Amino acid sequence: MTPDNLIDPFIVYWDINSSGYSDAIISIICDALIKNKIFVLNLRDLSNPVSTTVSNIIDKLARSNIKIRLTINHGAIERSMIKNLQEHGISLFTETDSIEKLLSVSDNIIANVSFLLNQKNFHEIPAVIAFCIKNRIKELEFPIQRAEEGEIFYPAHSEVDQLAHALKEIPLELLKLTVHDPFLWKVFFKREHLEGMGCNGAYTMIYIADNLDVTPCPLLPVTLGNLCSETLKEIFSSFKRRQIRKEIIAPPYECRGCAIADNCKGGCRGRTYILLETFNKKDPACCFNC
Amino acid sequence: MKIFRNPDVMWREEDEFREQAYKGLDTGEDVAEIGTSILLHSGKMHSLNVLGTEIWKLCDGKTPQEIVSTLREMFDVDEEVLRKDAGEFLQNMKEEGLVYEE
Ligand code: SF4
Repeated sequence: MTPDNLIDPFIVYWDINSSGYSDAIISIICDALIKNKIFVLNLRDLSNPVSTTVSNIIDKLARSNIKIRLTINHGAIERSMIKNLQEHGISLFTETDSIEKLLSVSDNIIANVSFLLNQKNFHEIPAVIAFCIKNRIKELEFPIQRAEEGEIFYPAHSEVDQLAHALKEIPLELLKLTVHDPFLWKVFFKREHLEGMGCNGAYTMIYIADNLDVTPCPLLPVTLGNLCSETLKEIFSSFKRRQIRKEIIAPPYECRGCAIADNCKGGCRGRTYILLETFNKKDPACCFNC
Repeated sequence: MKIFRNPDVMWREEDEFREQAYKGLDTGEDVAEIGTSILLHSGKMHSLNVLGTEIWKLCDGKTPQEIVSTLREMFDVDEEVLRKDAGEFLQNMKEEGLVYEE
């Protein structure tokens, strides 16, 4: 059975502000993450060098069961860092947005790869995968776009078709892939249908922006509260969070009659909300039966 | 044959729902639909009710018989019914890759 409601989320994304937070705030947030029994914390810090806030957070969570996935700037990686983080059981990803930058990596200092998709690099996906397989990289993630970071991208249907064709030749089983976009997920995992229950924003997942605003997802800029003035628990149990969640899972009018509406529930709700300013339309990237 | 939890499964008990379920058990309510724990494995979420949660917690190297005996001490249920329910539940968990036998 799947619960209608959760007491706390279990996946948290937290983008770090490079100028840092007070030690007290970090302690409050980390204590809440432990107390609320979060499973996975996705930390992202694109400053170069990586800010000391990250090590502070890692230290505070060291004795917890929280699995940390840390994404850093591709240019900020150091060999000693990989070893140190591995010892702490942390999965390290370096974020980049071009195959050229990936190929320029020096000295084989390679962690897992987080490849941020955009209009210019979408066609590079097969090359990125080939690079990862060749270099025995364990995980490749196509991360969730950030609402505040530039244009919201989604591929044209013809580009998705081309990708599907190219992927037929690639042994994807050699790599652990994380694909958040529901329609790309279908292409990568060669499925007719989507699995799951639609968007997890404000349900299993929440996002902490660098200013400590809490939103349902990195791509859904509806502020539920701010951790400077409220606890994670207060925000998650708030009326506002429950209301937004209701809107997220309500099937959009345009999806009536769609064969996979029960699983898809309108696709990426953040993308729809940003681009169409409503939850009541289908994801503009929908390429099911197009 | 011993049963173990798959260490890759992330899980937690939902304390508030757990309390609610045990209160319900005391007053004879049907608590089968109250999820008292959540398991996350390979991107899939599973919610277990109070009996499922206790079985899950007992999968630490115990045999199915040991699990049923312990459950008998916790729940006022006929042993045959418990054996059948626990057996089916363990089989499902095995198929989902949540537990393994050794
Ligand atoms: S129409 Fe598209 S967005 Fe709507 S449920 Fe179907 S696949 Fe999803």
